[in-house]
Amino acid sequence: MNELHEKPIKKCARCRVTVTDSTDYCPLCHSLLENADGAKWDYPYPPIHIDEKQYSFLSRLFILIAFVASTVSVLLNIVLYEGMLWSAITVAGVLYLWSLIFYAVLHHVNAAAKIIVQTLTGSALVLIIDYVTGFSAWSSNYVIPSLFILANLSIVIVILCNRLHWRQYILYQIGSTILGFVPLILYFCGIADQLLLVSLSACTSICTFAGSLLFGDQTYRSELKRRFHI
Amino acid sequence: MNMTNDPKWYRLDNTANLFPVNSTPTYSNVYRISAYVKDDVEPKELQQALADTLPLFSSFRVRLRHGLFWYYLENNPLICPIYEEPSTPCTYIETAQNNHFLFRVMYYKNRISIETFHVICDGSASINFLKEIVCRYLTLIAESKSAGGPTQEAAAYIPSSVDVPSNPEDSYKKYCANCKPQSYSTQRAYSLKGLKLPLYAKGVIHGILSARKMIDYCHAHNTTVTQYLAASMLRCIYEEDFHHQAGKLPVNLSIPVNLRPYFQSTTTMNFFSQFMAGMTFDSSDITYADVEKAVKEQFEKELVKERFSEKIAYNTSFENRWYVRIFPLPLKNLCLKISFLRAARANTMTLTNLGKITVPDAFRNDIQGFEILMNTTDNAPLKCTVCTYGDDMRITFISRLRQPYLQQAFFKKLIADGFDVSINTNGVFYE
Repeated sequence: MNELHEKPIKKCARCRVTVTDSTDYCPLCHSLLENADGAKWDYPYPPIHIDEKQYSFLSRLFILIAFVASTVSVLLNIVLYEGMLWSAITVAGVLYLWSLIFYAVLHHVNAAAKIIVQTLTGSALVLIIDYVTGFSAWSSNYVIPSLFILANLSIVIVILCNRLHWRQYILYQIGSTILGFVPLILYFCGIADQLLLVSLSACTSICTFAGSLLFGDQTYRSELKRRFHI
Repeated sequence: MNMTNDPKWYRLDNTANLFPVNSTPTYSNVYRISAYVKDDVEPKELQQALADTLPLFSSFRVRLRHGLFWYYLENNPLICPIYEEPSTPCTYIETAQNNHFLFRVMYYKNRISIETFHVICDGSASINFLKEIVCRYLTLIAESKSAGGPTQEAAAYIPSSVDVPSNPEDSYKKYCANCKPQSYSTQRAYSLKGLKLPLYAKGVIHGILSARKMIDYCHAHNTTVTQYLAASMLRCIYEEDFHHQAGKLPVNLSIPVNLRPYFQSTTTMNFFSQFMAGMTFDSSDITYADVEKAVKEQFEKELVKERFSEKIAYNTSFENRWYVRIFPLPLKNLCLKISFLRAARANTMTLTNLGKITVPDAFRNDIQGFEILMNTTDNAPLKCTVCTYGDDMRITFISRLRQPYLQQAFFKKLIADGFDVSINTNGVFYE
């Protein structure tokens, strides 16, 4: 360290170390150094910016509003209970909004992952609303199959828009293909009773996956090998 | 679809599987190795040096992907950018903002640094990569500055350590055969206490002393440099934290060990292990000689090939079980996280000695020194690294504790033993 030895020698009488920082005080004990010359701190490292905040003000505000809204609605629901658990809708809505803001908007993840998470949370929300309002199966017959069809088609559009990096969407496409069969499972479990959209959801899944296999050819298969290696 | 050629891909080595799971913005699993050159760094030449060197190191030219069962590394054809150093070292690498590379090359004044996510490789492999970047950079600078171009030796310099793209070797798997697995101790160790610095801030103190003098001292006292430093550190913790009083929990220093020399491996992936050197201060009259004796015994017991083979066998035994392999990745991650947190409790602090760093003769005068920084954890808020270049031994402490009382005690101990120590810092302790 030739550079270090060329600097004027400043010693700490207490710690007995030589300090080569451009400072007049010992970093270990904060005593005044011998040969102090009023030097200004010359940064050997970039200036320190200490950020005390973990979350931004807006995030904290959202957390507070979400917590207050959920707590107040649950309390009111319990106190004024008339046979309907409507506060479940408020809580589910807050949770959905949470996933929308913090995962879909603010989180840097794969676009296809966002589509899948939004489809799942959206489906859960409409199912809860349907259940709380007497369950006439409008969610499982129409909304959920439509959401899964949209999810499948959206992922295809994302792949086409970002053809250069299409590989990164494969795992999610397979995920959405499997999810496309969920409405059919709901149908066979008796939770849905209209076959049209339910079967269309499964068909969309099969078609998009088959299309990817066909156009992706060998590369798609080797990508599957990578993604599913055990 | 635009079907480009299939990218090459590699499985993660056995240790690397841990790092993606346990990396967060507060604990990044990123370490930094820096080299000091004579003049302020020219960004344009550094970018060119990186572009020239990266194709020779396939293990760095990768991105991390996840499958259904395992993470894996895939060849990354993008250009790796360079950065001016941020104020905090060893921060989490947001790969999406770094063209998906798992390392970053940075500069500040006359310092060139590489920060590496531990998934790619350990410190020994990173040093080779940094040395090649710096050597290439110095050649480019010499070409651009002098009419005669670089010196003959520099111009004729051929990189000495490139890794072979077709041979990324998981040495853990290769050398795990025929050994009885030996589990680790997960007994809770003493954890350093004290007020913490604000989130993400880290205090760095370098102590520089003569390597020759240190080696002579250690020879005279029939010990090794790492043993001496470990014993001194333990003694300081006993004095400063225990105040010569008996304590129940053991104080453990985690000592990482480069396994390449033990197994004649040349892998550029991770190939290290670690052992605990420590003792339980169960009485109030423990002398330095007692600590030194305990540390020496542990080093002699642990630093043998057979012990490392047993540890490797233990680590790889999980990965080889069929029911572990077919576990979906999110479940594996959960199990790994729990086992990692349990194992981390057994560690008071980390002390790593990367030994002597050498560079080709043609560049010896232009490279002034090296330094190594590691990230800290909640359990181990203080870490210590040691490296030697020429006659300069650089002992670096990186800390999340607001008061550098242990660093002070440690350097006082070295000075009392006859060493001249000069220190410099990153300025956090003046704030």
